[in-house]
Amino acid sequence: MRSLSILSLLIASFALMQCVQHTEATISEVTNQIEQESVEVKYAEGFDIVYQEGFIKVITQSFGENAPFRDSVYIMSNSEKVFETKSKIVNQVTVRLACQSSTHLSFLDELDRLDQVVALCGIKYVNNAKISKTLSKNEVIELCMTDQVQMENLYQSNPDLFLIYPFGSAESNEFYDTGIQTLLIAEYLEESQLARLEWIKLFGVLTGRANEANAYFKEVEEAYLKLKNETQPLEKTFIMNLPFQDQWFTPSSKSVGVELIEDAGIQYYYRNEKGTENIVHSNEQVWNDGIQADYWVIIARRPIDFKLADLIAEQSVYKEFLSVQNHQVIFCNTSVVDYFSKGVIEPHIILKDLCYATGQIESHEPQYFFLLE
Amino acid sequence: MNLRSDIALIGVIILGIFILFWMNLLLGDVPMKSADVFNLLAGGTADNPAWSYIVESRLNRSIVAILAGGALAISGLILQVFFRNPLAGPGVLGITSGASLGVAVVVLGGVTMGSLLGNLGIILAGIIGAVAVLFLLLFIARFIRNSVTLLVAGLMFGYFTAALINILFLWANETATRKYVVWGLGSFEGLNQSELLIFTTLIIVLSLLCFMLVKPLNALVAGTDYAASIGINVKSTRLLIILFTGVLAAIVTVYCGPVGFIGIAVPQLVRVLVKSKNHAVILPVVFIAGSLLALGADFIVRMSSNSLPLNTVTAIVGAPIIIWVIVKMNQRNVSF
Repeated sequence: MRSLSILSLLIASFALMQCVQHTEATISEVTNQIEQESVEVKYAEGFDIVYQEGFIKVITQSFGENAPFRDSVYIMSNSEKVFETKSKIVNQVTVRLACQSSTHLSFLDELDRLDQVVALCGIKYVNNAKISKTLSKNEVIELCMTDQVQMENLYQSNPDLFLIYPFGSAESNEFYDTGIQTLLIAEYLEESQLARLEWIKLFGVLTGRANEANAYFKEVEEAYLKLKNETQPLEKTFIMNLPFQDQWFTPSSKSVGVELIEDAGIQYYYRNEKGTENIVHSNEQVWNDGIQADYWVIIARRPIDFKLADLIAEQSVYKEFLSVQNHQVIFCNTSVVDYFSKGVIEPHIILKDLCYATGQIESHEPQYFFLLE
Repeated sequence: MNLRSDIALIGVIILGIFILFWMNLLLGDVPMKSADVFNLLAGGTADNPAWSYIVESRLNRSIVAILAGGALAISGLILQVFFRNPLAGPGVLGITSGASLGVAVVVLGGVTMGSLLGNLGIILAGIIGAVAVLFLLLFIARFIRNSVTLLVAGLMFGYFTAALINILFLWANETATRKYVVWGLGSFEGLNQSELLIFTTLIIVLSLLCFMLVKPLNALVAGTDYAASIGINVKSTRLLIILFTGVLAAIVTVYCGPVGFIGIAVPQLVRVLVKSKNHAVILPVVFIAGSLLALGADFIVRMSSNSLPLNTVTAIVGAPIIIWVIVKMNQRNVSF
C-alpha cells in the first residue's frame, strides 16, 4: 500500500514536470538596421565575419593546438530570410548581452555600448571605476556568485546573446535547451596583442558599431606598429611576475604579454623554453636566474603606494636581483589600473609605458607600467 | 630483545632523517655541489649571491617539515590514545578543519601573514578554531560511547566548517581567496626568519610539554577508570590533552596549511613497528617517524619543482599505510 502511494506520488510529480510550459525563444524583431561598413579580419584567427544578402554571419572558432570548437550567430538585416532551426539570430541594434568575462566590457565600453550589457559574471571583480558605475546604474545582474552560472539570474536578465568562454565545450549548446542563445568568445587564445584587440570588430558587428570598431582598431594598430618599428633592440633580458607560495608561474615565451614586452626591445629570459602554456618554475630556479636579468616586469595586485622596498620586504633575495639593484623593476599594479580588461584594448599605451621604462622614449606619462622607486 | 629492536628502529629513522635532510639541502632545481652547500652553511659565500638564499630556504623548509611532521604525529598519537580509537587524528576529528576555519575568518577577512599583528591574529584564530572543535567533541563524547560514532561526529565538524568556509568565500576578494586556496594545499615552504623562530619555539615547547603526558597516556590505554584508580587526574589530563594536541595541530595548520594523513598514519605504523608499549618510547619514536615522513614528502614535492601539492604526496604515502594497518588490525581483531 505504502509503495503504491510513493509510486503515485512519483507519477504525479513527473506529470507536473511535463506540464511546465517553456516559451519558445523568439527571434528579435528587426528594426532600424544601421548601415555599417564591412569588417575585415587582419590578425585574429579566432573569429570571422561573413557578409551575405540579408544577414551577417559571425563565426568564432578555435585554431592551432587549442581544444577544437566552432560557433556562429546570424545578425539579421532581412526579416524574411529563413534560417535553419538551430541557428542563433540576433538584431544588432537592440541586442541585450550577458557576458561571462569582464574583458568583454572594455570592448563594449570603447564602442559606447556598455548599456547593452544586462548580466555579467563577477561584477565584484570589475576593476574599472567608470565601468563599475555604469553597471551599477544599469542594475546589471550578477550571473556567477560561484564558478557556476546562476540559471535563474540568467533567465531573469533575458539576454539575446550570452557571450561565453569555450572552456571544455566543442559547441556552445550547453545552454541550448534553456532557450538562451550563446556565442563562444575566446579572444584570450590569440597570439598577438593586435589580434586580441581586433576582437573589438566582432563586438562592433554584434552591436552595430562596426564603423567605430574599425576606426579604433586602425588608430591603435598604427600607433602600436609605429612605436614598435621605432624601437631599438636592446641586449637586455627580463623576467616576469611574482611567485605564488612556492611556485613561480612564468608566462610562455609565446604569450601575448611577453610578445608585447619584447616589442619594447628587451628579451625574455625564458625565451628558449617551449610550449604555449605558463611555465611553472620553483622559486629557487627563478632566484638563481633573476640575479642576472636586467629587467623585472611585474603585473600584480599590491597596495597603491607599493615601493621597491616593499618588494624586497616580501623576499630578501630580491635585493640581490640586478633589476632591483639598478632600479629596473617595471611594475603594473592591478589594484590601480585595469590591465587585464582595459589593457587589452590599449596595447599601444602599454607599449609606450614599456618603451619609456626601458629608456627608448624620453617623454611620456605612464599609465600601466612604471619603474618602482 | 624488544629494547634492541626499538633502538635499532630509532637509529634507522634518525639515519633516514639525516639522509633526507642532506638531500633536501643538496638537491633541487638549482644544482649545487656539496662543498658549496657546506661553505654556505658555514657562513661562506658563493659565486651566485642567490645561492645563500636558496640554501637558507631549503634549510628552513626542512626544519619546518621535521617539526611539523613530528608535531602532527604526536598529536595524532595522543588523540588516538585519548579517544581510544586508532583512526583518530587532527584531520579526522575536525581539529584541522577548526583551525582552517579560524584561519579562513582572518585571511578571507583581508589579514595577511607578514606583520606581527597579522601573524598573531592568524595563530590565535587557528588555535581558537582547533581547541573549540576539540571541546565540542569532548562535549559530544559525553553522550556517545561508541568511538566510531565520535569519529563520524568529527568528520561532520569537518564538513560543517568547510561549508562555513565556502560561505566566507562569497564575501572574500580575489586575492584573499587565492591566498586561502593555495594555503589549503599545504606547504612547508615560505616561512621567513621571524615566522620560523615563532614556529620552532612553539612546536618544541609544546612537544616537550607532551612528554608530561607519558604516564597518563600509559594509564589511559587501559581506560579512564584504571587511570583514575592509579591516581591520574583524568579531568586535568583531558584538559592538557585538548590544549596540547589542539594547539600543536593548529600551529602546524596555520603555518603549513591543513596537512593530512601524517597524524593518523604515523602513530599506527609506529605501533606496529615498536615493540615497547611504553609511551616514553612510543612518543619520541612517533615524533621522529612523523618528521621522516614529512621530510620525505617535502623532498618529493621539491623534486617535482613544487608542482605536486604537499597534501597529494602525504595522501599517496599515508593512505596505503592507514589501509594496511586497518587490515592488519582487523586480522588480529584489535579495536585498539
